[in-house]
Amino acid sequence: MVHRAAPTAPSVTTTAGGGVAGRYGSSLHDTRNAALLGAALGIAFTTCFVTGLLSHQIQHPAEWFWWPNRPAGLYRVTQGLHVATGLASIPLLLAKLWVVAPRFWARPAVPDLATGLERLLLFPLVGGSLFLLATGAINTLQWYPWAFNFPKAHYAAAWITVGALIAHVGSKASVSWRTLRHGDPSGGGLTARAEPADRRWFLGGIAVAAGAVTVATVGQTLRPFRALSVLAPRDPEVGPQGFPVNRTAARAGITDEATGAGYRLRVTGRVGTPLSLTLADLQALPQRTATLPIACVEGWSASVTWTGVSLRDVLAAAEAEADHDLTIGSLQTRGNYATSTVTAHLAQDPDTLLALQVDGEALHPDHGYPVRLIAPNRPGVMQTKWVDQVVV
Amino acid sequence: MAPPVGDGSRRGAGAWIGMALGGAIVVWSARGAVQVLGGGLASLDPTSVLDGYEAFFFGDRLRSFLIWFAGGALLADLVVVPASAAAAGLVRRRVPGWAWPPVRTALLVTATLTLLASPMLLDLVDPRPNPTVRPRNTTTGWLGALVVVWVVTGLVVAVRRRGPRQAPGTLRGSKP
Repeated sequence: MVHRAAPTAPSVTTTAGGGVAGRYGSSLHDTRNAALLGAALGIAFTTCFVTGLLSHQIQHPAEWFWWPNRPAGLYRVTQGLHVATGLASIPLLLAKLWVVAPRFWARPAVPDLATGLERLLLFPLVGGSLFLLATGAINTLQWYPWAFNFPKAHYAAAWITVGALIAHVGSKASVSWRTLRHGDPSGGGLTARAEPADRRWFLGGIAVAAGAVTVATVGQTLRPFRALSVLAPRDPEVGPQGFPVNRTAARAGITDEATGAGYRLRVTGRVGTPLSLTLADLQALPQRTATLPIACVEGWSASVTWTGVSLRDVLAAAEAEADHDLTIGSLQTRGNYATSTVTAHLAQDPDTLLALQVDGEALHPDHGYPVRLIAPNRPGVMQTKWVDQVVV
Repeated sequence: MAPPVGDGSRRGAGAWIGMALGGAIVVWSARGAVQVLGGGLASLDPTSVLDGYEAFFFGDRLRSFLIWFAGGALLADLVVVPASAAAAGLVRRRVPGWAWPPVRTALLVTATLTLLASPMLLDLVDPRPNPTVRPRNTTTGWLGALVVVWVVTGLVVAVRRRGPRQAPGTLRGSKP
């Protein structure tokens, strides 16, 4: 497999160290390339970290965390950005590892305490970066060739990587600043000097690769690109009723009996009048239609027109106490995400629906028939399907 | 004179602050990972490799995490990067200097797209949980993408061949 290049022009100088390091003879192994790719990766990883933390906080909020109901598609943007930026980072990271490869083989490995500490902290940086990109990309395929829980491991690895990134930025900031700002490429231990034209081609090639990965996958959330996104794990228009499914009714253990004539939606907890509503009862309540995105943590999203009952109308009918978060329960008997929390302020949004229909048709079983939650600006895993309980 | 191998003399207070803060976050996060993922010393038992592939990779959450974490770094530094450089070097010797930059870009794009598609191309991925996951034929899409990449590269190479070979500031005159 070929990731990147050997030299276009003969090497201008040797790189640090002999032996294996000496075989990396390209003039592209220079400090300025390392700094430029490092800066690009720093921006990309910071974007991934911030959007990833947001997604984590939305799903597991701390006391201080607050997330707005609007714009309705904000999570779609932040999570789409998270996945797209991570995928686009793959060629950036591989190129960066190649540019600095002579340093990996430099000897002595620990010439002084500072360099030793810096090199020690490269292990969590490189290991964590590759872990995040590899597991993140594989997770979008709904393939899990590991024993750990993906969200927990991805989250832990993200913090490890960010810690190592802070250490790396601290130790390289001065060298990077000098080479990028003042054109002084003498620091960093890479002694090769790239020709300007070759540098442009090299960095341009990496940008093209990052762009190609993006075009090949981003159509799973940006519909205009869907025809070009030949490697996207999802097509936002493929699925029952024209959009994808993560967990099917069969995999969630949903039976026809549970969703049939005996189905009831129960509204309990801090309510004046506990309710037990049939599907017909829900259909008889005032209906509201809203176009809201379903945005998956895996990076795909689709805009869908939903019709159902405003959750706040049901809460009003139950005389629910205000200002309490709600727990939404499901008929789901297998797998994670059988319940979700709806904050008090989201529960009062008129577009927070107990949806009964998509585009005027009853929900497909895989989309949560008879009733699913759909609310603005929220991850798909929290848009609970097969809803049978609202607990105030 | 041997080139410098370290750049310790260039480090200032910022480097030490960064390494202290970043190192503390790494230690704290690694401790959190162990707590969240469970396991402990048993995860590090090297004899577990004797229990077979399934038990080694899937028998312990923390060990699985460590294998992926350390394995990625070792694979990249010891295999992927040297092998890529060697392979690129082989191609490089067979391509004229003026054609090499666009060919290098095409190789990089090819490698990245192939890497991304490889779990599906090699049929490593679990059966689809439902028809909306991986709805396309990946092999066809991947091949189509590579055709586009190499046709565009061919056009760029053709343009460069017809252009001036010795233009200053360009690589057109570079020798292999």
